[in-house]
Amino acid sequence: MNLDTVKSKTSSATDRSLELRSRVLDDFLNALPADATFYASLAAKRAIPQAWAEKMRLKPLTAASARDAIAHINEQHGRNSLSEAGLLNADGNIPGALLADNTLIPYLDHDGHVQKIRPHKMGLPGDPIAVYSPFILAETKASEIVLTEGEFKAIAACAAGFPCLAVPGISSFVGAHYPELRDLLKRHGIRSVTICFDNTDAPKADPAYPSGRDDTNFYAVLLAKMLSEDGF
Amino acid sequence: MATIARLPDIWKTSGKADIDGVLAAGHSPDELGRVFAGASQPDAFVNSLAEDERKALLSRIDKSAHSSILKESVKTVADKVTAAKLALRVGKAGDERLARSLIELAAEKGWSLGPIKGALNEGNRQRREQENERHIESGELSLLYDERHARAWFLDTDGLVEMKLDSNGRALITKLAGDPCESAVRATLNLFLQKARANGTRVQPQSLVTKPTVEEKLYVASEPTRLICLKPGAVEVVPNGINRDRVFILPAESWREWSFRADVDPRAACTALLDSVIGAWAISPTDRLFLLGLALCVFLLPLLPALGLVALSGLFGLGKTSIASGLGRLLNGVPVKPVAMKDDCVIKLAASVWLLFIDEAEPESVEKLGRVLNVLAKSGVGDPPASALPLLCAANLKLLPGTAQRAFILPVAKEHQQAVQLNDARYCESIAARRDEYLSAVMQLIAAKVLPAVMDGTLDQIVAELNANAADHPNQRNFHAIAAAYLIVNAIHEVAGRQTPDSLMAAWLKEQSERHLELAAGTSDVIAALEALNSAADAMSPEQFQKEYCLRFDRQSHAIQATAGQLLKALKMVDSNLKLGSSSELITTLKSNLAALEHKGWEVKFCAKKIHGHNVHVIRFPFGGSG
Repeated sequence: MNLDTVKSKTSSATDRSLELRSRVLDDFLNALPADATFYASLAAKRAIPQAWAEKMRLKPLTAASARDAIAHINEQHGRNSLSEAGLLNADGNIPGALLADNTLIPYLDHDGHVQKIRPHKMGLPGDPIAVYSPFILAETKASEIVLTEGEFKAIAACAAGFPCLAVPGISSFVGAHYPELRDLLKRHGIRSVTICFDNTDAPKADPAYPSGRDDTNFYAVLLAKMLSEDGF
Repeated sequence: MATIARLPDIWKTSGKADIDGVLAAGHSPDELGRVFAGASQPDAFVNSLAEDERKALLSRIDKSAHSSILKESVKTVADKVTAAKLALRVGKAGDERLARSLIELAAEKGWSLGPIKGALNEGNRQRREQENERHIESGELSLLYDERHARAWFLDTDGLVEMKLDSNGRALITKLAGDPCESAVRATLNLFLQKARANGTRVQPQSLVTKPTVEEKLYVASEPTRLICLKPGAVEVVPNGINRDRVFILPAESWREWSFRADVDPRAACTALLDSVIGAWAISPTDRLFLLGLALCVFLLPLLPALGLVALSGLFGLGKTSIASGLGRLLNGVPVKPVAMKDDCVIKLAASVWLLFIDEAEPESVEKLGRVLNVLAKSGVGDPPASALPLLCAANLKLLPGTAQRAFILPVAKEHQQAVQLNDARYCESIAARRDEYLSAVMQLIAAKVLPAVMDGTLDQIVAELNANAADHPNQRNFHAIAAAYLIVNAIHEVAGRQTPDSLMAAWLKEQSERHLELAAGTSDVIAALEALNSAADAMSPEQFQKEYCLRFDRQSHAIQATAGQLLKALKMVDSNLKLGSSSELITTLKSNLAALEHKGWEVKFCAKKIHGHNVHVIRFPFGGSG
C-alpha cells in the first residue's frame, strides 16, 4: 500500500466521520420541537423573524426535550455515534449545557449541513469555536459583510438586509484562530468587512480605562487592522 | 479596508446597544444601515473617540496589544523553532509593532534574536516574492532593538550624565553586557558617547565597568574561563587521517584545541586581549566571543589544509555564520551565500574549491546534502567541489558529533583527503592572496573598539584606574591589555611570515605599550628610590642594611617587611629628593604603580598586621628586580 493510498483512505475515514456527526446532529435538531411561542419570542426580543429562525434552524432547548430527542435518535444511531457527535459525555451522560432552558444554535456549513451545535452562550465540552456561519455567506452571496459578536445579532442583521457573520467573542478570532476567519472570508470572496461589536457601558473598575470600552475598541481596531492587512 | 461601526450611545438600553437589541427596540434597518455606512477605518475610528477613550486605547495598543496577541498565539511555544515560526508570521505581516512586541516577547522568554531575525528575513523574502509591500528587515529589527535599549539609557541619563553614571548607568551597562544582541551594546555606548560629547561632557564610559561590583558582574556574565572548558569527549570528531593532531573543534561559545604551535599560543593572546581590552569596554560576551572566533580563524587558516573538518557551534546569534562567511570571503573572494534549500530544512550551502559551508547543520540536513551531492556526482549533471573542507555551523552542540560524522561521508571529503596536501601551493597562494584583507578586517574590528578610547584619552584613564585598583583586583590587567594587543599582531606576523596588514597599528600599539611602561617607570620617583634601596641591599650584608636603614632584609626570601613610615624613611635616605610627605602618600603611590613594579619583576603586597600592638600597614617587598 503506497502513501497516497494510505492518505486517501485516512481522508475518506475523516470525511465519513464528519458526515456521520452531521447526520446525528441533524436528526437531533429535527427531534427537537419548536412552537409559535418560541418564534414569537425570538422575533420580539431578538428581531429574528420566524423565516430566518427556521432557515438557521434555531430550536428551543429544555432538559426534557433534549432527553427525549437523544433517546429518540439513540435507537437510530447508537451511543457511540452520539458520543462522537458530542451529545453524550464520555461517561454516557448528556452534557449539562444541553439540559438548561436555552436556544440551540446550529452552525451550518456552506451547504447547510450541521457542523456543530451550540446552546446560546454555552458550548459543548471539547467543541472548538467557529465563525457563525458559512451558510449565511452562501445564502446571501454577499461580497461585503458586517462582523458582529454573537449568533443572534448576525441573524437579526441578515434579516434586516445586512449580510452578517458572528464571532463568539470579540477577542476569539484575533489570536490563534484568526487564520480561520481570514480563510473563510477569502474562500467566499468577501471584499469588505465592517466590524460592529456591542456598545456597552462596562463597569469602571479599572481606572486605566475610564470609558470601560477599551476591550471592545481595542479588539475592534486590532481585528480591523489585521483584516485590512489581509486585503479586506 | 476593514471598517468599524459603533452603535450610537443614545440607542443604548440598560447600558448596552447591540444589533438585535436595537432592531428589537424599534430602530429601523435604514437607521442601522446608516450606522454601517458611517463606519470608520481603524485610525479614523481611534481619532473619533473621546480623549480619555482614545488615550486608553492607544496606550493599550502600543504597550501590550500585539504582545498579548503574540502571547495568546504562542501558548504552546516552548522552543526557538516555534519562536522562529512566529517571527515568520510577523515577517509576513510586516507590522512594525508586531515586530516590537516580538522583541519584547523574546526578551521575556529569553529567546535569542538570531533565529527570529533569520525567520524574519525568510518571511520577508517570501513576502517580497508575493507582494511588493513594506517589510521589516532584520537589520531594522536590530535597530528597533538597539533603539529600545538606547532609549532606556537616555531616559535614565538624559541631562544628568555624570550623576547617573554611578547609579542607573552602571546597572544598565551591566544588564547590557549580558545582552544577546551585541550591537545593542555598541549602539547604546555610541549614542551615549555622542550625546555626552555634544554636551561638552568628558566621557568616561570605562568608569562604568572598572568599578568592583560591575567588574565582577561582567566577569560572571562573560565567564572567560568557559571559553576553554569544553568537556573532553563532548565532541567526537574523527579526522580524515591526514593529520589527527591538527583537528580543531571551534565552537563559537566554547573551543578547544587539540594541538597548536607552542611558540605562538594564540589562545592566550586572544583571550588576554579580549578579556582585558574589550572586556574593560563592557562589550557583551557575544561580541567578545565573535571577535575571539575571528581572531582564532586567523590562526586557523594556515592549518586549514590539514583539517578534516571545521565546526563552529554555539548559541544563536553568536556570529558563527559571520565567521564562516569571513573565511569564505578570504578563500573564495566573496562571502558565502545560500544556494540550496530543501523543504523546511534549510541547507545553506556554499561550495568552492576550498570550502563547503553548511549552515544550520543538523544530521538530517547534512545527510540530505550528501545524497544530493552523490546524485549530482553520479549523474554528471552537477559539479560537486573536488577538494573542499567541510565547514559546519551548528547551534546544537549535542547534535554536533552526529552531524560531523555525517559530514565525513560527504563525497567531497574523500576527494579532499586525496587532493589536499599541507604544502599545496595553490592553497598557500590562495591564503596569502587574501590574508591581508582578512587580518585587516579583524584588526579593524579590534581597533574600532580600542582606538576611540585612546583618541580621547580614556584608555589612559583606564590604565590609571586599573593601576589604582590593582591591589584590590589582582586579576585585572592594564599593560597586559596593550601588550596582548601587540602580542596578537606580532603572533600573526610570525605565523604569516610577512609584514602584517596594518603595520601602522602594530607599531602604534607597541609604541603605546612601551610609552606606558616608560611613563609609569620614569615618572615615579618612588620607583627610582626603590631601585636605589635595592642596590644598597645587594651591596651590603643584611646586618649592615638593617643598621643603616632600620629595615630588616631577608636575603633568603629577598624581601623586606616594613611599615609605610619605615620604608619612607629609608627611601628618603637613599634619595633625598624624594617628594613624598607622608607614609599614606607612599602607599598611594606604590599602589598606583603596581603594574610597573610588577613589570620590573617586583612584587608588592599590602596587608594589615599588628606590630607592637598597633594596627599598621605592613609592606612586604620582595626584592627581585636587579638582585
